[in-house]
Amino acid sequence: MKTRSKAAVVGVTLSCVVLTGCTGGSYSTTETSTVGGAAVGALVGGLLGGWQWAAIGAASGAALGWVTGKAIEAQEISSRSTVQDQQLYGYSAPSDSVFVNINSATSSPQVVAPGGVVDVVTDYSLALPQSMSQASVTASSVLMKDGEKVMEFKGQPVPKASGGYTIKLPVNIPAEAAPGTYVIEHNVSAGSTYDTAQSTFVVKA
Amino acid sequence: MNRLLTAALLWLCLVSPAWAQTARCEAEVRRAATTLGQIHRQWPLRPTGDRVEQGAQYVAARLGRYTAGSGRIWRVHIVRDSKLNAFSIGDGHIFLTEGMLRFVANEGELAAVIAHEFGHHLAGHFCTSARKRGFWGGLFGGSGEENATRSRVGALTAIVDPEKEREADRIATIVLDRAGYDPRHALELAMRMAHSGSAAHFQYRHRVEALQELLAGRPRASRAPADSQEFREMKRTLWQEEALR
Repeated sequence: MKTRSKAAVVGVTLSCVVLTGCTGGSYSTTETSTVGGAAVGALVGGLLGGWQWAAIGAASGAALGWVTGKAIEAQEISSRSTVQDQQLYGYSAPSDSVFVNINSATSSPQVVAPGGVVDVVTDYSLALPQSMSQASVTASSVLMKDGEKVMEFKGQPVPKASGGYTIKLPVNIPAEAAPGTYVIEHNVSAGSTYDTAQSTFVVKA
Repeated sequence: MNRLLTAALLWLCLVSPAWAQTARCEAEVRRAATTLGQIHRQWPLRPTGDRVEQGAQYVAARLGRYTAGSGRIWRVHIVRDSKLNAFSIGDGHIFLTEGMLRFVANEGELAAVIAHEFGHHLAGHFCTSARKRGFWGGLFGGSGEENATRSRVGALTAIVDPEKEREADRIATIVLDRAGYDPRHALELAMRMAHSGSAAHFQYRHRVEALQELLAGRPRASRAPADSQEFREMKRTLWQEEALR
């Protein structure tokens, strides 16, 4: 019991240290979320296990916070009208249902150093029945390494008209990121359909 | 010698499929190639070779061994759509939605779906004149006859003739039987589909009646074959993906 209490104190202290260390600067939403995630993770870890668990909790919480923060940073960088989309991809007739289709999925640059930024870009087309002016589209991305999920970027449903869209998610690569090949899974869903595609980038010190 | 010849002729009559003469025609091949290109550009399809596609393709290949005379290479494509649907565009190309793959209760029911699409091909439903039907017409092998109805699949138009649906069902029961699946799976699936509230193109209520008549008095298979490893892997992958979303 005493050990548990000590661990909880360690967890809370670690949370406070992390929080204190960051409050003086200007931070992006991502970093703020990271701090919040680390604090909660450390606290939960400390309460449930020992100081080791507090540290693990902080690390995983930080990752979670990073993810949470990123969800609101996806940007729409271009869009196409239905006619432009038809000209580009050969759409020939109106659809009777909502159809979403990823045209391209890229990560750039292909090689990035720890601490750098990778732009995760997804281009998709949305087909709607003539009776619908908009449909709710949800875009998300999953970062994987060696087949394991590292992080997930979940977007909020956004109403979109028929046409084509290009969205960009800038992913900050942590300074402590392990070198190697990372896979990004790009997901877009609308109506009863969804599409998924993959791109890769390499983290190299 | 005569006995041997008679036996050989009898064997040929028994194993030679009734659809051996309904080879694909030039118009079918041309239309299917163009439609396939459009679908690949517009629709979210699963990649070739993933576990879900492999599971469905395995069942199609197993059935396809008993349609050798048709001269077709059967190719199954999976649409990332939770709606219940299955259709063909000719030249052996069959499309199944993920919703349909989730809906089938066992491999026999999936075989029944695929065998029905085989039926449209083998009956020559795609090898019809293109006159009076738009470029996108003719999914499922529609004829444009008066009793046919039109339905839409994405940006494509399907012409559905109830008589041709029943004809495809009749052929499906033969293919299922030959491949070792219980043809009653077609009836069981049609009955479940009739109550699923799915798209009307299957016209399952009428198909149920026709299948009941077709299979009347036919005993249920004493021992249904177990689902294959490929089918179970397909189901497991779909379930895992659903859980992650």
